[in-house]
Amino acid sequence: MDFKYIEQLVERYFAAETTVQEERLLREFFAQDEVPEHLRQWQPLFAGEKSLAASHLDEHFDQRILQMTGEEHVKARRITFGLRMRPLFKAAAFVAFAIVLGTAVEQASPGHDSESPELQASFEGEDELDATETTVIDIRSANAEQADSTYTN
Amino acid sequence: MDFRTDILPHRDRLYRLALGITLHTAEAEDIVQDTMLRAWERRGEWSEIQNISAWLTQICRNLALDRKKHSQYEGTLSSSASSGAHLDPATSHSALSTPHLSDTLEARESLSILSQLMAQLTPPQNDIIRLRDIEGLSYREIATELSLTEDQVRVYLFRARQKLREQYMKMQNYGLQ
Repeated sequence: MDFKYIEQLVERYFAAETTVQEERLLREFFAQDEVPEHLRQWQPLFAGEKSLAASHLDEHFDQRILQMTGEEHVKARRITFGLRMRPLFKAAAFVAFAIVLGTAVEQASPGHDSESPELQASFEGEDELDATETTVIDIRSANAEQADSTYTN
Repeated sequence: MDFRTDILPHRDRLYRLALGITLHTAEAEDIVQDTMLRAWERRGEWSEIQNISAWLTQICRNLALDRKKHSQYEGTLSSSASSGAHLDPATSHSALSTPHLSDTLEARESLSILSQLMAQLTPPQNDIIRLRDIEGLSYREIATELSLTEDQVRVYLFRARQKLREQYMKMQNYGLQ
C-alpha cells in the first residue's frame, strides 16, 4: 500500500496547510492498529489528539450544576401546573363529552323505555285530560237525554 | 444572558482543557464544576464580558494549573518522603495516574505525551493547537474565539505546529526535559 499521501499530509499538517477534514483523516489513520513502521513515530501524537477530542462529561453533570446554582428550581417553575395537567384536562373533557353524547343518543333512540319523572308526569296529565273530556261528554249526553224526555213529555 | 444557554454549553470544551492539563478525569470534572460555580457567583458581571468563552477558558485554565501545581507539590513531597528521590518531571504525568481516562494503556500514554507537549507551548500557541486539533474549529472560529484575524491564526498555528514537532522529536530522541 502506498502511504505517500499520508506522508504528505503529515508534512502539510506541521506546515499548517491541512484542512480540518484532512486533520481528521490523519487522526483516524493513526488510530488504526496497523500503521507502517516509518510512520509509527507520529502515532502517539495523533492518537493523543483523538483521545482528548473524544472526551466529554457524563449526562449527570448538568443536573448537578443546576441543582448547585438553583437554576433547576427556577426552570421547574416555568412549567406551570396548568401546562403539566393539560393532557389530563383534555382527557377528562373528552370523557365528559362522550358521556353527554351517549346519554343524548340513548334518550333519542326509538326503543327507549325508561322515562324521566317529568315525562311521566306529562303523560299522566294527558290521562287526566282524557278523563275530563269523557266526563264532559257524559254530562252532555245526560243533558240530551233529559231534553229528549222533556220534549217527549 | 442565561446560565443554561450561554455558560453551561461550554462544559465539555472546558473539560477537555482541564483534562489536557491534569490528565485526570475526576480532577478535570471538579475543575469544570468549580469554573461553572465561579461563573455563577459572578453573574452580575456577565453583561460586561465581551467574550464569555475566553472568560470561562481563563478561569478554567487557572484552576487547572493551580490544581496541577498542587498535585505536583504533593507528589514531590510523597515521593521524597517515601524514597528520598525527586520526582522526575518527565514521569509526573504517569499514565498509571489516570485510571479512568481510557480503556487502553496506549491511549493514556498518548494523551500524557500530548499533554506534556502542549505544556511546552506558549499560552497563545497552546490555545491555537487546542482549538484547532482538539475542538476542530475553523480559522474563522478560532479568530473569533481569540479575538485575532484569520491571517494571525494561520501564522500562530504554523509556529505552534513547528514547536510541537520540534518538542516531539526531542521527546522521542531524548525524553522531554
